[in-house]
Amino acid sequence: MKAKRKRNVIAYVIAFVIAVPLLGWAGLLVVGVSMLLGLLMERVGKSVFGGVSGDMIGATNESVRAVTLVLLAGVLAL
Amino acid sequence: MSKSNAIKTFRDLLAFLTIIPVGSGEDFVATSAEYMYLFPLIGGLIGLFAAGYFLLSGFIISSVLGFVNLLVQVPTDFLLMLAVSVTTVAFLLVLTGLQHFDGLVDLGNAIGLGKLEERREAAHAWVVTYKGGFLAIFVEFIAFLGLFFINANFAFRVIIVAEVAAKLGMVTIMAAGEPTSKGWVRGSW
Repeated sequence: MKAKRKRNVIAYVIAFVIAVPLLGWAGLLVVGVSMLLGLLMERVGKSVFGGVSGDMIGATNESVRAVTLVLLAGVLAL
Repeated sequence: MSKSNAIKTFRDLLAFLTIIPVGSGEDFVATSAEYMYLFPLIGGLIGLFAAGYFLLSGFIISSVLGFVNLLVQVPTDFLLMLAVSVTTVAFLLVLTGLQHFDGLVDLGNAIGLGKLEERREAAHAWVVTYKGGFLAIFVEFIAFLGLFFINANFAFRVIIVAEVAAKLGMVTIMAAGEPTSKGWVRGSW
């Protein structure tokens, strides 16, 4: 189980490799924010459902996308 | 991973995360759990589809608005961004089979209820309460606002990165949390 979780680090590397060349420091910001939002949604899932369910995973996808789009609209306008 | 295995994994992940029917068999859910660390890569591809849709629909809608403008004066820029943003959010929802949207509805249904069992039942019920509907529409409205106000020069890249980030969020919550039920998720991440 721990080995599988460690393997998930690859996901962050992939996200970094895509986001940073496309958007520079804003891409790096997005990677950090999506990680924080994922952790926040885990807390929400724990308090609402007692853990992570498929619904929470889907809700995380939509929430992270929405926050990322607004964040990037803001920072790229600066 | 052999070439054929890599192709099978890629197809299974794409089938799992979208409505594109490219899954190579019944085990595509298990494959997705095994290789969930590749979600951001598939997110990049989904983002590429959505960004392509954004550009194509922008081209088509601006042509239509240009024609309409010849007949009657309309706020072209506003209407263009409004139409393109709304339909791009809709495109993403449809491409993902409304599965994630349903997650928002179920989360909203469950929030505020007393007991844990009650909340879990609310999430599994085939109903939409006003809380569930409000949460889902609110989150999608935020996504719409992001697209509406995006600097057009960055739109293509932003849509791709946003989808990569969304999938990274999925990996993070799965990596950080413990699953609630038995199924493909239990013990597989």
